[in-house]
Amino acid sequence: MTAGLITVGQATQAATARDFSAVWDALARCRDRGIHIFDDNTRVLVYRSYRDVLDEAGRLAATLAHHGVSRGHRVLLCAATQPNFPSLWLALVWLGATPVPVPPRAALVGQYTFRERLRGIIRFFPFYLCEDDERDEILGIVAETAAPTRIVVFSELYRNSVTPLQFPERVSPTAADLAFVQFTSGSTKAPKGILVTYGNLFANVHDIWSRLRNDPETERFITWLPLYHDMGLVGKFLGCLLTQTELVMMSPQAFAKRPLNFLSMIGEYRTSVCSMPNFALEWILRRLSASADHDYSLGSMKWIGVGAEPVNPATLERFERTLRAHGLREGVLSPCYGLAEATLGVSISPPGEGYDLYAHDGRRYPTVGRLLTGMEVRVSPQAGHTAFGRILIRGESVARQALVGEEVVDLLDQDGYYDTKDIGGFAGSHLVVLGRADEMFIVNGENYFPYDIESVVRTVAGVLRNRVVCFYVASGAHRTGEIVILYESRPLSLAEEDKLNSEIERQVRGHMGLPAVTVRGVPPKTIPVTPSGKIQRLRARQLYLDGFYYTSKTECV
Amino acid sequence: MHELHETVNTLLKTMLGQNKVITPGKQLVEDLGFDSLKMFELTAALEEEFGVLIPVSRVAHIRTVADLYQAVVSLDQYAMVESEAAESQSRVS
Repeated sequence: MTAGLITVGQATQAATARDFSAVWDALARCRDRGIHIFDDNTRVLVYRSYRDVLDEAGRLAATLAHHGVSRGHRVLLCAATQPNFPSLWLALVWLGATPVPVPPRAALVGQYTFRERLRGIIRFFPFYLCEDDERDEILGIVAETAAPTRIVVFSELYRNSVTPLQFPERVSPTAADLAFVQFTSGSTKAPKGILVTYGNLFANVHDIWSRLRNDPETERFITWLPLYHDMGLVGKFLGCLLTQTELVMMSPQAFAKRPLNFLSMIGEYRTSVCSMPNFALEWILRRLSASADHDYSLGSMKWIGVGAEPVNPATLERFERTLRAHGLREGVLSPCYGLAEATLGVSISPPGEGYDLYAHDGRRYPTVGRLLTGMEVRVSPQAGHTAFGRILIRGESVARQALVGEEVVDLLDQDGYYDTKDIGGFAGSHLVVLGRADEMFIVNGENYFPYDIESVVRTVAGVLRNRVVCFYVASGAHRTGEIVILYESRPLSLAEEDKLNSEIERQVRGHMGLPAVTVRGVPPKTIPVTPSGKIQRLRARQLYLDGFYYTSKTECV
Repeated sequence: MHELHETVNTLLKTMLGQNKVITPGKQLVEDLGFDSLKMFELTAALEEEFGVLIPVSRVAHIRTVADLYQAVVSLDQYAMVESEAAESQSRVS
């Protein structure tokens, strides 16, 4: 076996050497496997062997060093899925810098969504490597926030090879060094960057590869997942890079445009592993129903993970039923559970095992896999439940710290556990996740926090400040559940209220990129608050579900 | 109305429902409720309808219905390649 560092297959015991030097050696030897990336601009699938990626990384490292990037720098990196991304990432590792992946502008709809994401974090980073056409907008954010960030556009890096070419010293990070900073788990008002070390990363990739029984010499992964999200970044790109597993990539945008192309590529490249959120299965089903005459070949897939957002059993069943005609085998579709704080994976079932359904309080929940070898879970009981409660996780892959503003905060309790704020428990040896203990909700794989949305609504003229509440109803009228915004205002005519509702919807779409929200004006002093004036979201949600606001509205009119 | 505008409007109404009022100034996300998935579904439908290639980077700059008309007019495949080349040239200088 030529794969470096992370040994899998027969030798499933944890690799003891946990530094990058073995990865550099393995990449240098690996000329027969690599990464295929579909280039959105040319519509060509670009292939580079891992050796080619390494060579290109050396050249890019020289250019980056010329621009001033050096050991210890944390560097914002536009995580667009494009052919140079692997080399860019590796060039930063080469210099001992830490990549901080951020979504490309093109991935976010809504005029202000990109700005909202960046302005809370940009000033803490000395460099931003970005697409050429993002430059002007980023410059605007830099000016607005007085950030010291230096912007380097990709074309500058690709063109300006330093001559004569002198490769800078290559750093081999060790377990305690920072591998990347993951910003998906925090809100835009209080962004939280998870500080993932190489120790965390090596441990989680090792455990995932072992559980999936991946043999890097024969396996071929395929992904369209965003590279600024842990499932795509760790579970596909970094996992394959560290183990030199063959990988086929397309961008999330290319998938959104033509999801059935993704199915075609599975057959064409005989891939064996992929994963995606529930909504993507729905997206594929929707397109399939419109073009039923085409045949796909999914027989090569051994494992399709479903995660990053709550999994709907009805979606799983329809996907399996529909795709069976295209070669999907039983037990391949496999709900799993993970979070950025765990680097990625917490529980995953091996290929072929599939899932079971667990009935709880009249609803069905799919099991989300067996705990990874290095992961411990403690269920902290909730009132009224014995077997279910908050899921706490502990293990080598669980990040210890996060960046909040300029401060590094500890994530673990005194026993070394991280509180996921997810509610769940075990059905036999399989984990089941029932929901959230806090008010966060997930739409299309993205985490949203009510207070971010409320702060946008509070700025709309006509809304009484501090009298806005947002909450999520999982089984609402919309495909993704219902996001409800209630606001208090002075008495309005119906026409004025309609206008105000439309303006609130516009602002929420523009700033958050959230399309389907239910906006409702309610009479003054009907949104519950604590004696100190804090909004009671759970109470407001219950009143809404009980129909209280329909009644009070009628009385008001 | 221009034939192209009519075709784009018909496509939008197919996706959004027949009773949506479509005017050139309407914003796709803010006014018409497009999310990122639907934006890319729309561009795929436009590409197929008009035989053009709308680059991903261009989609972020399509904000209004009028921008959509403009994208279709300006981007047949050859024009797209030329404009990208011109764009990168101008950045070099």
